[in-house]
Amino acid sequence: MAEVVWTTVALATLTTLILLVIAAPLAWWLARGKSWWTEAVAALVSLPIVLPPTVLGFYVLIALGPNSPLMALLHPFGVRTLAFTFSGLLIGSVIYSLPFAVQPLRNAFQSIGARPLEAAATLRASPFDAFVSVGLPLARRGFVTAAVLVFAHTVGEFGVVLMIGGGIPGKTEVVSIRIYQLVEALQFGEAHKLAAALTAFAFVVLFALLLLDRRATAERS
Amino acid sequence: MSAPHEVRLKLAGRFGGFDLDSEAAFPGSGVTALVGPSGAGKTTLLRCLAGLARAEGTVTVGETVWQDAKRFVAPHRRGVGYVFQEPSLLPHLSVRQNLGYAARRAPADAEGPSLDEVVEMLGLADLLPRGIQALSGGERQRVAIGRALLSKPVLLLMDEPLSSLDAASKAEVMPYLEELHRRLRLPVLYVSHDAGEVARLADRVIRMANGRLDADEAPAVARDPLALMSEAQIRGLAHAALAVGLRPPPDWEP
Repeated sequence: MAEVVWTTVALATLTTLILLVIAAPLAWWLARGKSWWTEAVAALVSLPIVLPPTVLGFYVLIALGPNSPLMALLHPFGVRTLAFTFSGLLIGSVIYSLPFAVQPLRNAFQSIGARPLEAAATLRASPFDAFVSVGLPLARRGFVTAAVLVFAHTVGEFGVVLMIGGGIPGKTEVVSIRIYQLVEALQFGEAHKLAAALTAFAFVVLFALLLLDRRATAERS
Repeated sequence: MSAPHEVRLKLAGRFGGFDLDSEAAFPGSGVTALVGPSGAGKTTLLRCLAGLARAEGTVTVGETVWQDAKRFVAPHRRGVGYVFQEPSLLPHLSVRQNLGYAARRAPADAEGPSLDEVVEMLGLADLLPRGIQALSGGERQRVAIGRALLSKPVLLLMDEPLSSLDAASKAEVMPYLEELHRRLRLPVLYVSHDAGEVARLADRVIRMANGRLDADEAPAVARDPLALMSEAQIRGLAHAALAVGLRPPPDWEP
């Protein structure tokens, strides 16, 4: 049991860290882009919200399989496939939770407005400098929201992790999959405990997020 | 202070409600007021000079080309100070940090006032540890002006820096502006609606209407209170004068 919880926490933590790094520049670009294809990219990034996890999991599984052109690039390094490995699971999780990081960050960057960045530019700050010295600190609430959402969403995912990870105990089995397997084996008592723990976790996360939101709204007015 | 740089511009472009089509040159020192009705394109012209907006044409400051057919120098490489209409301080930084933000990024070899000089000139000593939210409008604008100076600009653009302030705050900031005018040799382009401000600060006036400039080099015009009035305002003034019994001199011809 402990190793299942550990796999889940490790997956969620790493997914969150990786996504914040990837999503920040992407969301910055989306927030400041003006052309129509900015929205095309935004739609692409949002796809995981509406796609069935099995569809996404299927594509990622194919891409991580030994016959994919992507994996062929890794063959010289001794990597045949990432399917049914923790690394593969992590890649799938990052893609699956991408919109949950990009959306709050994009909103946060947009709400900064153009003025502070124009002021920074006239003070000799390069665009990258302004991103780091003005964009990131003024969007810090967006980062908190994104981190909480991604962590919770990763803990709560099922279809994608089942497709890509296969639920190998100690390697790719996470709490949500353990619950499924417990129910299959008619071990309802154990399933109850885990299900209740996940429900409590989800409630605490959402409650904290809403409290945070309320405090920020009060600060602004 | 660095050697004065003459500023030359020739800009044309289509913006929201009007066509910008302006050509002007003004000397590399002293305050040049840019006046005209709202919607004339004054802010747009300033933004084009700073590189924050883009029009076709050329902009040169002394020997340095900021924009021509081939080049468009990014705003952060121009060394232009900009004081916005609403004080645009960085809200996550204190007053001291806002000033430091500019000072740290200013080139070390450029000449310009030091932090101590700016603090003294603008009376900022008591404000330094404060957060931006704790400042009045007038205090914010003083900090914004100080911050622009600390970036050691070669040209200072001021877009109606007093217009968002109430009368008391205006009266508070005005003496500081006059002090700057006396002490700095930096060229300043100062957008204003207010005849009083222009009379007190400007060395020369450029008028702008419908995106076009009309350079006026005569400093006396800056002191002419009618220079900034609309025709309707001047007519009103004339009627008022007639109403209190003033009459034109006998040799006056309309």
